[in-house]
Amino acid sequence: MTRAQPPTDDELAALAVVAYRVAFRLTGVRADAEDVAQEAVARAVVRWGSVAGYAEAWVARVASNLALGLLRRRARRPIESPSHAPDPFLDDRLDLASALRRLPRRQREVVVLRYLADLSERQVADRLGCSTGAVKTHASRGLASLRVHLDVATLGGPE
Amino acid sequence: MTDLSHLDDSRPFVAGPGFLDAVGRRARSLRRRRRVVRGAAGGAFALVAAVGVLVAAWRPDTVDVVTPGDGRDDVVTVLIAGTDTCTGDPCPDDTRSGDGGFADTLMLVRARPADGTIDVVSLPRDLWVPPGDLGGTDGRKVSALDTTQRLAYLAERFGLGVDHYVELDMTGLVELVDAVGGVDLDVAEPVTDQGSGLRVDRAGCQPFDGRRLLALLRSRHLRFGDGRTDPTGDLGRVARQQQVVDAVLRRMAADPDAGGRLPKLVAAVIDHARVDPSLDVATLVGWGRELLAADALEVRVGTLPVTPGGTETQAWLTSDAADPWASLGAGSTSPLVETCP
Repeated sequence: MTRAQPPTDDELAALAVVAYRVAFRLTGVRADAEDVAQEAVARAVVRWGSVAGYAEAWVARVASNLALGLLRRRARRPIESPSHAPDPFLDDRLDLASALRRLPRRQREVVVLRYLADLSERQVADRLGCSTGAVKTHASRGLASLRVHLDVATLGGPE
Repeated sequence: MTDLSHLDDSRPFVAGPGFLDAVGRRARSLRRRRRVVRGAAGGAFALVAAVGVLVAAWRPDTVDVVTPGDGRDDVVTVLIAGTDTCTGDPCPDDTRSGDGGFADTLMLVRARPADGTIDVVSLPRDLWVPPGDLGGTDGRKVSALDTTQRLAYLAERFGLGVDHYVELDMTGLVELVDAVGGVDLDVAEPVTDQGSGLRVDRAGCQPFDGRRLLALLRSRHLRFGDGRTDPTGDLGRVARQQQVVDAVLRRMAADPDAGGRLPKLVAAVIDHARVDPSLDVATLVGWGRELLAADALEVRVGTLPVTPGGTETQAWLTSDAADPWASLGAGSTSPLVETCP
């Protein structure tokens, strides 16, 4: 397997957008989402040789893990931050994070890639090494599980 | 249509030069940290090697087997057997002590150190090996084979040339886990097991030290809070083992104190493992270094797909799989425990 070319700035910028999207949807805080995006993209750079083929899915997963970790630590020591404007979706984000944690790993992975990162079924299938049919199945099971814990409104309306 | 875009930032995000500069700095610092860990681990190795010269016992016991290897440098395939032997003190009541042991757990591990990827396929212990595959007249469960037979079976059945063999006893596992500082696992609900002494009082992410983790791994008769028993049997146990392996590997990779832990890690294995003759301390330390320096470990697990079979007196599992690695990424079925996010 030949080594991939080092990433271009444009490629990294595109990855950052994906990572930021995932992180912001979970945390709702710009600074946090930016930190997470920086960390996720930097880690991808360091192992570009092995992730280049599916870098968007890879940074999306890393970003979701980092964001979930951040939220979990925050929950233990809530930070009073008057500089943040109140977030109308804060409860939705926390509920989403906690519901995601309850999912079996494979469903969580697919839900993160499809609905937090907005990747296509093809991209997800390539990343996970399975068929698009399997992606659909994991996604619908994941959503069904999430709906048990979440408001319909949080998930953007009925299917 | 499910759509989470209402949670997006109202201001579109653009990764400008400042952001990309910061990414570059962070990437350089991550690479430096890897080198530092490697350097520190190298220092630890020098210490181990120096001590090794003086202390003749600094070598794991060997099992007299020949590992065929697959002739590739970038991939290492290891068969790991966990035995239910306890060489420490105190030992749980229902264990054997002393030498040898019944292979309780079998895992086929394929690692690409340069990429930081590790594939783990579990072989259920009740896997039935037909007589033809062993060249004899009796079939047997894979856990009851001796090591030579097991390696021969893997070569025969899957064309798999294993590079190394590691047999780790229960005390070794406990010490290995404690050497990495324990792991956090996400438990689905409170559960106990009288046989192993496991007791989990609450659901959610919680710490497991070596002893508690061993109890979890040995549990075969789990009982939930409302009196229900666990119906998943050996396959459920295998799924739990995989989550634990994943958690331990990730813990090693994420540990900032990695270099300092390496000597204890290696010592845990050396004292409580039996290995094939070609596996030496230098290689073990090398593996430890690679794991500890891995920036984001990619662990994929799978279980050999099996169907139940057997006779009136004995139940077993059979497998038609042509490729043991094909089951990777399929995920475990509703495990009781998972790595914490």
